[in-house]
Amino acid sequence: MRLLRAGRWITAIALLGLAGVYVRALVYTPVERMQGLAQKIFYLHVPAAIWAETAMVLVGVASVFYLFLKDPRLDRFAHATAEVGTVFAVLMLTTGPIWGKPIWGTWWTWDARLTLALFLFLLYVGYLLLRSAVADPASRARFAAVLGICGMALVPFVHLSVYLFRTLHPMPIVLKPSEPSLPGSMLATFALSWGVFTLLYLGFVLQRYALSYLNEQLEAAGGSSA
Amino acid sequence: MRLPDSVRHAWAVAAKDLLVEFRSRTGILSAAVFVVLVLMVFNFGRDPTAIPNIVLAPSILWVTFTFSAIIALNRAFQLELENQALDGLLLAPIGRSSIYLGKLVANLVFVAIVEVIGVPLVALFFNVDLWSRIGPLAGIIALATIGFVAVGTLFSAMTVRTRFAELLLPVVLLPFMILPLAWATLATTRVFAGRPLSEIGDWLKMLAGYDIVFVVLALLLFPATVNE
Amino acid sequence: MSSWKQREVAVPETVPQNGGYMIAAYVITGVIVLGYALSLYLRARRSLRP
Repeated sequence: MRLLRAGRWITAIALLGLAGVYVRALVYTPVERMQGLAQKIFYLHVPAAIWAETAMVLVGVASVFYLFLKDPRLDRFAHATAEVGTVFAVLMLTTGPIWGKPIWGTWWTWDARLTLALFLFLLYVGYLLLRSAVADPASRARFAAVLGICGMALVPFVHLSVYLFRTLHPMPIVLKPSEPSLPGSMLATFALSWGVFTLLYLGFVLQRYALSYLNEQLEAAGGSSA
Repeated sequence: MRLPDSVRHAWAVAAKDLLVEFRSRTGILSAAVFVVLVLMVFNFGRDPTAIPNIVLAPSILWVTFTFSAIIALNRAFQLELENQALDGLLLAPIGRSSIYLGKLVANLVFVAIVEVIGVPLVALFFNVDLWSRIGPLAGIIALATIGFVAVGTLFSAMTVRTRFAELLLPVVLLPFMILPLAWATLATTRVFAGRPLSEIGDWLKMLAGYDIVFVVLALLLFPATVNE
Repeated sequence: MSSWKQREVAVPETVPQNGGYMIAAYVITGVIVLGYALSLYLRARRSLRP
């Protein structure tokens, strides 16, 4: 299948790119004085965060279009993006606290990114569980679309809540944890990482989309699907 | 003055659900017993010298309401499903939005009854003066309840026919419940602490905004959950 | 940097020694990304076989 092959190639390139990011971030990027080595987690955490949230928006948009157009390709795309988004949300949820512990002294805090990571993860998990629980494919697509749209609608409220909560409970800032103003070298590493994560997203989604299509063919042919 | 058809139909749907509920009374009774049980457990479980009641009371209040809401929501479409009456309901010459509104109203009434029972009980068991702050408290409770019951009613239409419906609904609903719940608990804590009303203004606005957005969204999306 | 002085936050003389966290995060990220890539590959292979 053409999409599958394209997806695999892009993923392979992205994985190589990721190795490159690792080398560049760990060896060739200067250490940030205030946060130390732990700051380098930023180069992985933030691009993952960008795509975790973007993916949720894409799920929502694809869902809206699906409800109007009823094109199964949109549903397949929404499903693929949701699963890949889950992976990025998990990345956020693991790297976030690992970054937070040395910087804030605590594993968890209700700051903007960690809170969003948690909500995105819960939304994605709910979406995937709902899909797996509905047997009829037509209902499944419709229901997933409904949930996807609601999920997308929730995200702005999460942002607003964090903002409101923060103005009432200013966080004790010992070290400045959010993005420092990046000098050139760090900015370049970040840009490279973001590019690699974009490729990763693309490769993953293409493969997952192709997988959905394959499974649908198998189901239609009466065979067992993975 | 005659009400528009959609409103009358919605009320008919709500009245039917509520009538069935009140005739059997099991729903209300179990919910009431549940509230008493939870409050008693919390009461026995805490050390009165460690944390003042007024600090615990908001969280306990909202935990009880949330559980009751989930119970109500799981029952929302169960009735039709068990009696294969959902098709009948859909065939009736009423708009889909009326069905949703009717279900929403019925669920809200159910949860409201639990809340009306729960608030005085919390005041009693925890020796907290709620009456003097009943106005803002009622406002917070009303807004938050509308928020998660609105989304929950929409989702229950989708989960009711799945295999682990009672489990799936809370899981899918979770992120949509946490937000109004968090805002409500934060606001309630301030109300109990006797803070000036201006401090809860922001939370009330968030709750109201949430309600408007999600009720409208649910009305728009509900037909997708029942159309064959 | 007078704001630092006002709040009397100590400016670290040496860089904080938290490399362990960095390594943990990079390792976990690698595991998750490779794990998912592998999962996609294997699932597709399974679906292509019949």
